[in-house]
Amino acid sequence: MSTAVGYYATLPLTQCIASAKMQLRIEVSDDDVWFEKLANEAARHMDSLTVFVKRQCQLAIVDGKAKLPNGFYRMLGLRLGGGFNGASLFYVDTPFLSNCGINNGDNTLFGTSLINGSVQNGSGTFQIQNGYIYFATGISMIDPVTKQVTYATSVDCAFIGLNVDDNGLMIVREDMERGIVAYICYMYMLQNPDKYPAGIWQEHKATWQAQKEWIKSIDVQNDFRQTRRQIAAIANAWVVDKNWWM
Amino acid sequence: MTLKEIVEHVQATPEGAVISDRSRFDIGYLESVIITYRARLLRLIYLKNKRINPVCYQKHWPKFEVDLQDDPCVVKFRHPEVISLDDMSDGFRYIGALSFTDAYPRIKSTAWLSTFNHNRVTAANNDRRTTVLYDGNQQVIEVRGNLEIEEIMTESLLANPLSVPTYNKAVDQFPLNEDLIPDLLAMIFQEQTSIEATVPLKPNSPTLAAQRGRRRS
Repeated sequence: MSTAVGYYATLPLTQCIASAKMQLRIEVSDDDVWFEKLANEAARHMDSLTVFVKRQCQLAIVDGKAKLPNGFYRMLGLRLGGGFNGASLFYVDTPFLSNCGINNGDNTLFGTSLINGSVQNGSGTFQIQNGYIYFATGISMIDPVTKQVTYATSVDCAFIGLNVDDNGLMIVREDMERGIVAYICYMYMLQNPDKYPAGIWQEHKATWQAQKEWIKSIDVQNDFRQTRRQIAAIANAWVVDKNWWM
Repeated sequence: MTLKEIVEHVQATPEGAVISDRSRFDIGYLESVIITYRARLLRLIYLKNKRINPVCYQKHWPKFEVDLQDDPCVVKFRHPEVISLDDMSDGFRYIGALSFTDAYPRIKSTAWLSTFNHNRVTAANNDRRTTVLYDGNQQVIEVRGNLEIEEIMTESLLANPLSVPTYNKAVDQFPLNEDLIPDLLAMIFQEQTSIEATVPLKPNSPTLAAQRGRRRS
């Protein structure tokens, strides 16, 4: 994942589709829907560092579960919204903790971050299954005066996910356009082998593969530029202060 | 050439460029023959060149009919039949906004609609884009994804150029480029000649008498 979030100018998938149609000399819109799927697929399979980014959103809790956002890949953190003061929820592997001997019911282990009880009873924890976040307990609170129970209705989620727009389609950078166009042309010609000689679609396939490698290498290069100071700081610590790791 | 001129051409050619009220060709019949052969000729031209002259396209602005809206998920517009060109393309060139800036993505058939709706990216009714589907059986364009649309424009190769109100057969140029008119006439006469050659002559036909005279001499 690249730390260079929001670094590049983006363009809509429709521009890639229009470019592919110009390349293929297609006037009509009969294949536009399919081309949009291909463009989204190509952007995903660029498989570069900037395909995944840090994102944040608010999810609604319904019946004790919340649907994962589009493009979700890995959770970073969950905090309850509304009047719950941003209380954190935890994803814990309780069998693992038990094997390590730390899940002994001590509810002070995680300090005041837990709402109720300990990790052992699942309070304040969640699991992810089949595209949903399931909350065990700990998403409710009781008013000390009125004794009224209030359940959380939303949760703020920070996660690592695909770089997608609100509709779940990949966000495309300007320098990805050529590769995506090559991919669309290649797939279109594969569907019409009698109309296009093998040499033509192989050329598009080679362009797609070369562009994919180029985008990956650019992202790695930029990522190194972003993080080289941190790498240098760690290396310096090892070199300058030998006592640090001894 | 207008349609009227082409009809006169077809009438006059076998009769020495003379048109009289004794012509054996019915005008209505000739018009339907010309329209049919135009469709066939355009298809052959497209198969050969993969390109049609822009003169052949006709623009149409389907009217929004309230009585036609019987499905809450789509907006429907009537549209006449279009020519079929090859296995991948039919006569529609543009279906979209009036400004020519937004051609709506086309779904080729109801079967494809079902397939697309099983994919999150291509689903037609996800309000993310406007798509169109032409139901050839009902001759209706279905617009999906935007229920606010009340106007669309199409540019197409109509199977019958007379089926739209914007075409006046008396004054408007027939939607076929001039250099294809001789090919059209050749196709018509080839068909006519081959049919007439199989029809037996009447006993008092002057042609038959002339043939008998030649045999006697």
